[in-house]
Amino acid sequence: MKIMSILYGSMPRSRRLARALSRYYSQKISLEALDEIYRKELKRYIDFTLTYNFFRISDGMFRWDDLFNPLAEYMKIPVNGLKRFYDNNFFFRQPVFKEKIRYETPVISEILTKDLKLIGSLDRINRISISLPGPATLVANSLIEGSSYTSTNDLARDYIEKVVLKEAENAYKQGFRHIDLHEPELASENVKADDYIDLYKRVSEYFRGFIWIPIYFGYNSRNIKILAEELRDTNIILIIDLATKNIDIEKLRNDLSKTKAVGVGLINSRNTKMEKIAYIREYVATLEKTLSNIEDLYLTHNTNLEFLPEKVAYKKIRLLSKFT
Amino acid sequence: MLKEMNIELPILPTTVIGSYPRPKWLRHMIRLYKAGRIDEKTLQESFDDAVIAVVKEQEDAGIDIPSDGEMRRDEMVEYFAQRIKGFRFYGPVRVWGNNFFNKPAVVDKLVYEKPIVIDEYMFLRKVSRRPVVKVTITGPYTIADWSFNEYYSSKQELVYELAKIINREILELEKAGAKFVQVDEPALTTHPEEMEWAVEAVNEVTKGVNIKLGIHVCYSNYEILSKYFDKLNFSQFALEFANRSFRDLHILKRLGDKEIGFGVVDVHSRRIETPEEVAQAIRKVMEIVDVERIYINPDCGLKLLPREIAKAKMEVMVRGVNIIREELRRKGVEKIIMRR
Repeated sequence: MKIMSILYGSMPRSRRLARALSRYYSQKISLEALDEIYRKELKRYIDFTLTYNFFRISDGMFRWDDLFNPLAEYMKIPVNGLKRFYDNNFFFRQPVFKEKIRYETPVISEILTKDLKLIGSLDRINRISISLPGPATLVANSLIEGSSYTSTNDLARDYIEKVVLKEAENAYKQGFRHIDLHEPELASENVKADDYIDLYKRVSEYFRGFIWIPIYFGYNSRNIKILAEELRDTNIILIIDLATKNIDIEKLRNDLSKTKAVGVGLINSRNTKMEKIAYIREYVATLEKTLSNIEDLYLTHNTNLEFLPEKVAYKKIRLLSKFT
Repeated sequence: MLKEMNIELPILPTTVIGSYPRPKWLRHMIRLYKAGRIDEKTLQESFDDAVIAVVKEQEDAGIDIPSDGEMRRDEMVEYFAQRIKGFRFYGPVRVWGNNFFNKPAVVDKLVYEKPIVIDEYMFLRKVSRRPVVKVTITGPYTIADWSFNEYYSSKQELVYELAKIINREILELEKAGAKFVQVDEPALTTHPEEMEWAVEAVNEVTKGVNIKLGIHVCYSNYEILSKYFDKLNFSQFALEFANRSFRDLHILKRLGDKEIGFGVVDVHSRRIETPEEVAQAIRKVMEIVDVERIYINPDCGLKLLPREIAKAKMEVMVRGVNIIREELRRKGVEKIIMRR
């Protein structure tokens, strides 16, 4: 079994970036000046994390207010009032689909490519992921109004066709080799992953790099099992949350028995308490013994690191780096 | 049955949830204090002056039950965590957009060392001209949920420990003469699987208390909350409805004989509602809840709005209420007796 460490999702914003955003909103600095700060933030994060030889990282999602914004704006979709993001003290603006998605250019991959070019990190593009909401999570956290979409399936399909495939195609062309489709919704009991398998396979046809599906804020055994089985012959890798709940190791063996690669979120991104290295080593040793079919095991955190104060997030990254 | 408190209020009493924008000069004084350029005494004087200013602003707008605007509090959890022994701060985390709070971590056994908000209440009582003022306290479940727990073996144990502390504080407030305390529990419905014990734990704060107790829960799943209306030992539920375009009003059918603190203006939008919109919302809620059991408030604390918008929202809210009061006056309904 090959063991590697990875990072994904959003990082805490530094005080410098937060201050720059406040100043931008109160029209004290220009958009160009704000962009400059974004890029400094990105560079700092990339330089720090890639020093530690993580197999892959994200862009830290510094430009994102939440998982759906500013994507909603790029899709020409208005947003509603604030809504709680699952069981967190974190809130997002809810997309309201009154009309169909209009997504003319692959904005996400374009902006990130430009940022990487301007900070002189294009050579690392193949280790940095594009982050997007997964279809299950998007539809579960949006409102459909009027006759825009006849069902959530209809919206999910349109989102994949118009946004994800466009981004995937462009991302690959630009040199990205990783796409993350965040799917916290799949950890809840409200949703059946079966409904989305065809959509993930469709993305897989378009993107020949790695497609990662982080599933966090819990563990839904049924969904994990079915996804692990159905997606085993694809380039799609699940990232599962093993820190929110204690998961019985036998259950894990059963759920993952058909897959060859998996990401395991062992580091808790929702608690400042530092995990002991010995505990991680022991857990990994147990996984090695138990998950004999797994060829590639990716160690990671259980959800976005931005739920932690910045200095603790970086401390946990350093901890994770000990396993790269 | 809720007991009457011998205090008369206008029908549809208007109140605030608690926080109000800090005056610009107060923010400046806080910065000076942090930079070591003014002393503690001067800072406290600034807080007092700010409370005088914002209480006047609320009363001028026509608010019947003002708060002190939480002028002394940077944030609702942080403020209490700083004053209860056993917490530590590692730095801010983002809550939404570009808004952060200093999320505390419980690193040791929690100890109630001394009263937390009694001085706030005493000063507010002194400066307000209204018969009743509102004191807000962050509830034990929310403090626990919005903290990192590094010490207690379970979240449940932590919440119960905090509930004991908050209960002591409310009893102190009662002793000091407070008549209306609102416990803020925005996190209460966040983990539905914890609701049963969470409700029991939150009820611990009401033990032995004989004044009016309200509970504020916002941006939450009200379907879940409404199942516990009767179990929660609070006479008033202050809920946010403008943000959700007055959807979910049907849950108020489960209120029983309790009161609603009805949120009629959206505190996360800078658009100022019209008095007619407010009146229309009140008419809707009056179809479900008896008018004697309705208080009117903004959805949540106003602190994140620019001060002039916060003020305008309060004024519009009161003007909307006055439209309905006029309609009720013609029917001979003008006053209510406050109940605990």
